[in-house]
Order: sequence, then C-alpha cells, then structure tokens
Amino acid sequence: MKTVKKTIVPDIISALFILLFVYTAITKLIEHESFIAVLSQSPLIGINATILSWVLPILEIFTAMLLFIPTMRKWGFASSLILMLIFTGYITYMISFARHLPCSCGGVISAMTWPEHLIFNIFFTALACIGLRLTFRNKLFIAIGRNSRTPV
Amino acid sequence: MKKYFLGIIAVLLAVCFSAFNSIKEKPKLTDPYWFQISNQYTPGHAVKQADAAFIQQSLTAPLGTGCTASTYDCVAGFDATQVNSSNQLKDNSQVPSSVPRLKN
Repeated sequence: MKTVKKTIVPDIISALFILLFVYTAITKLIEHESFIAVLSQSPLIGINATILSWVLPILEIFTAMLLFIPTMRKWGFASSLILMLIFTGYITYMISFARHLPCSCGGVISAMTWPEHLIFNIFFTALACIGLRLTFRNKLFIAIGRNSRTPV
Repeated sequence: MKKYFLGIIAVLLAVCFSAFNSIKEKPKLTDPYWFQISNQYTPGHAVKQADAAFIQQSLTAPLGTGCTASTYDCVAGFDATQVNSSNQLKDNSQVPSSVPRLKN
C-alpha cells in the first residue's frame, strides 16, 4: 500500500501541476494583449512586461513538459517549486504594496482575490515540495535496492 | 503508455478549460489614460485634478519622469469615465484604476 502511495501520489501531483501550468499558459497566450497590459501596470514588472509576457507561459509549458516525462519529473517538480515560490513572492508583494491592482494570472485564477490567490499558491508550493521529496525518495529507494542485490 | 495516462488527461483538461475560457464574452479592453502625478499620493487614494498631468492614452503604461522608487504614485492610469474632454481629471475625487510607476 505504501509503495502504491509512493508511486501514485507524485503522478497525481504532477498531473495537477500539468493541468495548472498548461491551462494558465494557454490563457496567457490567448489573452496576450490584456496580459501585457496588466503586467505593465505592476510597479515591480512594468518595463519588462513584454518580455515576461512571453517568458512566463513558455516556462510554464516547459515545466509541464518536464513533469510529463517520468524520467524528468524531479526536474519538473524543482522547476514548479521555483516558479511557485516566485509567484508567491510576487503575490505577497502585491498584497503588501499594490493591492488595488488586478492580478496578471490566467483564466479563472484571475477571478480570485489576492489573499485567496496567496492561499492557492501556498497550497501548490507545498504540493511541489511533497512531489519533489517523494520523487527523490523513490530514486533513493531504487538505488538502495539495486546496490543491495546480491548475485545468485 | 500507462505512466503517461494522468499527464495526458491533465493536458486535455487544461486545453478544454482554456477553450471554454476563451468563449466567454469579455468587455472590450479600453486603453487607460496615463497621468504624471505630482505631490505625494499613496496608491488607492484620490488624486487632485491639479496634481495630475496627462501623458498619453495607451494600453501599456508610459515610463513617466522620476519614477524610480516605491512609495507614492508617479504614473497613474484612469478610465475614460474619470477624464473630461480636455484630458484632465473630472474632479478632485478620482482614484487611479492602476498605479504602474511609483516614486519616493
């Protein structure tokens, strides 16, 4: 049961991240013009809005691809964790200094308030940590298993 | 193939959700009116007409002058309903819809 959990949980977490990143990336690309407009209104991003408007969805799709390939999954989780930490930091800044601005996130997520979005991001950051930890544990388990195998 | 199953489902769901999202009717995005703000206003507060100098109307915010810090409004965006025909704020009670550039 424990082994099943160890293999299924990272699969489910990576599927959730794929869903999140592909969905938000597609939405950002479909509504690209308004995405740039909202980004450019942020005091933190402002001048770099156009570059970021391309870099962010590309990074999200790239992370989703890493998560999709089982052998690359640990890098996918690492990338997800970094992205989520950056997004969470940005939201914390916005809540502290620019609460009146709209969110530049994609799709239904932009309908959330800043505090709701912060909770959502903290949840996904925790999921990325769990996924990363489980993926590394599984690798360690396989490595120990192989090393301890004695010739028959 | 089995190990890709959840990933494929996730991608398909994401594409479906974003497709529904794009069907939704959205209000036309109107370009904000950008003003250079003199005096010290913190974001979210009404700006006096005399302290707002019109820069331009555009989708993206202009750089403004001296906007290099993070406390007070420097460049602020207003909706068309907040601006009169002479590109001035209607009155002294207009709160910026966005403040992309700040100063100290």
